[in-house]
Amino acid sequence: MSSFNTEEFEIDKKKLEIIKYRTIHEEKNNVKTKAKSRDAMIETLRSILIEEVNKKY
Amino acid sequence: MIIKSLEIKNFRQFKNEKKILFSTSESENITLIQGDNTSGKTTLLQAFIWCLYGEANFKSKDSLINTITSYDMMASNSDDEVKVSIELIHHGLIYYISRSLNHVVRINEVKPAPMNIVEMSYKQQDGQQQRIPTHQIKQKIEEILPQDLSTYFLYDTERFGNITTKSDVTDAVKGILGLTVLENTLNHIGKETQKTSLLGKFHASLNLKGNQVADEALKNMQEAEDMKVTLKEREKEKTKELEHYHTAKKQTIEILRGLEESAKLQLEREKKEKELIYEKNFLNESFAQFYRNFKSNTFMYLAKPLMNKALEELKNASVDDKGIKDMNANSIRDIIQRARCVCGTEIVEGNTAHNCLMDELQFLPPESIGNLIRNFKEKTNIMIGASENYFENLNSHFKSILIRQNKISELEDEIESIKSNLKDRDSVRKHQENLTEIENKITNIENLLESLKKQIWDQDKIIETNHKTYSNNIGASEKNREIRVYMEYAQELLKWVETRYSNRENDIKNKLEEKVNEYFTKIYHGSRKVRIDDKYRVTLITTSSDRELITDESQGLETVKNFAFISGLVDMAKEKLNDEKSNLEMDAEDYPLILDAPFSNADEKHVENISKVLPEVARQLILIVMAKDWNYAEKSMKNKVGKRYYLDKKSEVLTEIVEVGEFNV
Repeated sequence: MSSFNTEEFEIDKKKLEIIKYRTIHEEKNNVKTKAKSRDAMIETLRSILIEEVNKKY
Repeated sequence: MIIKSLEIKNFRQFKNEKKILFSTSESENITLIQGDNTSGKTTLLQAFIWCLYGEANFKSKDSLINTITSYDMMASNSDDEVKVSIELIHHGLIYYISRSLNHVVRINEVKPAPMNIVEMSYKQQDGQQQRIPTHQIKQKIEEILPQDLSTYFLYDTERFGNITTKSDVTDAVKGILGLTVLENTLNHIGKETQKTSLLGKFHASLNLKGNQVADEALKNMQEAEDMKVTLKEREKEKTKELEHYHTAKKQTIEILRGLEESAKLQLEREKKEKELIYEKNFLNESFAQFYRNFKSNTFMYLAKPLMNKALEELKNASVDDKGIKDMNANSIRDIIQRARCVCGTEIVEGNTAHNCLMDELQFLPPESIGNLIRNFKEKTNIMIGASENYFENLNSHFKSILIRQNKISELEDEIESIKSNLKDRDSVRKHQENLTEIENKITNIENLLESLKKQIWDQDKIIETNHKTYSNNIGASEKNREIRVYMEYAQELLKWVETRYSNRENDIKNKLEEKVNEYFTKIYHGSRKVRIDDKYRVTLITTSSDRELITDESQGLETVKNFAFISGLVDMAKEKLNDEKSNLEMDAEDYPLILDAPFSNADEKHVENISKVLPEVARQLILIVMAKDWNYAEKSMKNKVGKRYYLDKKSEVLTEIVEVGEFNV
């Protein structure tokens, strides 16, 4: 979609694992509680992803 | 989830407050509630559903409140309520849920309040009750037992129908076994083209336009920088040129200062030349006047020297000036001839008068020239005297001519002298013109430099404006880079969930089919088996001549199939895989089975088999059954019964709940 160059970028597998875990955890909770709307869930996933990507270990 | 108790008040045929305590024991995990037809078995199941979800599904549209209670209310004209409370254990915590609906008497009629009231709390570690806020209750109950799945655990045989035709079976399986979690995750991550998805939102937040704007701003900035360099070079060049002209101006001024004396001489020369012209004009006029004067009395001019010579000559001559002035001899003779003097005296020869006249003749020419000379002298002197002004004027003009001529001569000498001095010197005018030209050039260059400064300022403004735009949008570009990183992670996450979903879906289908077949085999006393399709729809097949055929189902077989399916589902739901990581999307759950008339339509053998299987599958089993059905089940289940109740139908509108002890059995 974009000509953006991400060649120099590499996925941090540890971060990805944490993102997977947290995402599924949130989705699982929401399946149970149905507390969050679709938009709210997307926003939650977005926050998790941004937070984990930017986290410094 | 384990249900500890159900308390009902005025709910349909159950008047006042009734409480059922359920067995929570693992070994005796069955609570048996027996009742005859219309004794309130289904009402009890609906009480669970109403308490949890606020909905009740009765065939008749009668009010929820007990009929006798409503009569009492009208009789006493007092309000009362319908209330159902459940106490349950979920993930180690004890929850209390109660739902009540107030009823009031209005004009001899009992009316329910427009809304029921739900309350929920849980017991904390320290034994204190913690209330759950009203707005969180629905989601908390959903977390404990989702309403969508409730029909599988709060099982109403008459209403459940055939598992094969149940439209929500796919959702139920997916929900219970965690596929919904993965499905929702996939759906939420979505695609870049999907606006309402994670990837779509990331993509939408990319400021692709910002990149273009930044590029455009950068291009403008570079162009302006190039233009500025050109203008600066021109400015530098023109500044040098200006310096050159300023130097030239200084030098010219110095030259002109040096030529100040020449300028004075030049001015003097011009003055003298003007004076010379004036003197020459004056001289011409003087000549003209002189000639006019000369012409007016040329005779005298010529005669006077002669007259003076004659007078000089006559100066020493003896002049007898006894004679009458201007008298001549002819005049005397004429008088004598007339014989009378002009005075009247008679003249006669010899008389005195005659004698006097004759004497007079002696003094007159020809006898004497003395008189003539005297006359000549007198006349000449008169003439000379009369011409004195003429000569004075003539002399005066002549003198003037001489003076002018002298002046002219002097001026000509002086001019010649100045000319001689100015000869070989630079012309002031030339330098003055040069200076003017330099000054004009300086003015032009200064104007040009002003213009260049303005143009440079303009370019600075362009650079400044575009730099701001560039900075703002290059920020967007940086942001894009950051968003792209997030998108890469989201894409990786999506890939992982897709793979996991695909694997899990396949595993679940196979395992569920395996489990259901396992239970089906335990329950069914025939040779059929169960097949589960991609939508988790269950069909029964039989093998004939190595061909698998879908078979017809009796109601009894339908019941068997349903229980085999639910058993398989409950079994899988509680299954805790050793590797938690590989089972992220589902929590192991103990679901109770609350079964209303579970053995309807099943034959004796199947009831017996179902009775063997169900207590093994479910952690808690609440059986609401007719006495005749229990008879077939009792053999297999009696040792598992922890609590037992009997629904004692007193009338069509009143049932008492009686706990049955050992002695009542």
